[in-house]
Amino acid sequence: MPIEGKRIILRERRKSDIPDRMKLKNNLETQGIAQSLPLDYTTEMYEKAHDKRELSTLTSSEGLFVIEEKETKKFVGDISYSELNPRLSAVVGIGLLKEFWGKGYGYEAHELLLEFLFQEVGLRVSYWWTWSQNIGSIKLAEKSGYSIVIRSRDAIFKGGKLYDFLILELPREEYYERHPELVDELPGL
Amino acid sequence: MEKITNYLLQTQRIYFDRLTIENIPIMLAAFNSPELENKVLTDSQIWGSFENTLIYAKKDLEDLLEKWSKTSKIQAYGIFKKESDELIGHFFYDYDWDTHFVFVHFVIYPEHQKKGYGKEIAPFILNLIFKNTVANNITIKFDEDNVIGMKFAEKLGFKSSGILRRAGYKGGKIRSLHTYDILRREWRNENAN
Repeated sequence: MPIEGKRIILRERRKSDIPDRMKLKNNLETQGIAQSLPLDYTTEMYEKAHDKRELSTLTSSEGLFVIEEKETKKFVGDISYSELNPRLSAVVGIGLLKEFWGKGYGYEAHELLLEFLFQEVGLRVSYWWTWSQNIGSIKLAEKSGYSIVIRSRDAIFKGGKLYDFLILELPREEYYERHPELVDELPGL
Repeated sequence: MEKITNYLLQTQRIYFDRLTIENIPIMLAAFNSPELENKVLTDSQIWGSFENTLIYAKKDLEDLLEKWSKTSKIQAYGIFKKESDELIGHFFYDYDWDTHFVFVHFVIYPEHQKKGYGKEIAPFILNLIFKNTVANNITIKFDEDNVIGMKFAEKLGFKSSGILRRAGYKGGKIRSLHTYDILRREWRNENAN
């Protein structure tokens, strides 16, 4: 069963998602992370990576999902997490096709993932990495309660300029403060 | 055999060289010493997983040296005393996706600390990075308990760039990670004065 929201679901990645995932990565605006990847991703590369992936229970350090619009079953974007310290901290990444920007899908997907990370995985903190010019990304994280904790000055080169690399942080208890409908029964360390 | 004195990378009392398996016994003793607990000794992911190995084995360091020698994004060197060819510490620098953003770490092993080696080699290492990479920002990270390290970084011209409040869990405590950085232009100004 996928993780279900109001307008979207988070589900596993499938081979049939590859053309859409390539669109995301082969576009500097939607790559979604603070790096300029070469825009040369091919179907073959993606298929190879897809086939190579092992059972999550064996690796268990990451979760890779596709955001799908419920009504149309359209591919909206990618969302993932990668554990830094198992069951303690993870960094979250998201990228949406441009046609879905500004509709609240990013926020909805991220909130669904956060609920999974805090309620099921038991994280003590979630991290968000971005760069200072990516205002949309910063706003999205702040809307879910993150705050900037690291600012590495002039560290990321994009679009002909150096920008600050940023880390935003959402500690577990701050997440639960924002979600009184959820009860945190994980004892403190 | 005549002793080599014309080192490629050297300061007054120190020279730097690649680490080999012959260096492992000394490294192992240092890595497992209580004085270096919670210090950054190996490259982890850039911000990433906290070093929570409690006891290092010979194989861990063999794997580490192999990784260091095979990964072009990581440059790691031993710190040797000219006088005795003794390994007294190591340093490495690495980067992730953007080479403008470089992480550096160096450590002097416990019995060689408080002899001024850190002060002697730190400027050399920063010069080495700025002169041999396109780094614009050099970042260094410290465990919350490494107050001496943080003060030393500040003296070199580094500025605090933030704190990860939950970088890891060790010794019954959630540990924070403090980061400091210095920009190329700042380093140039430091050296001009």
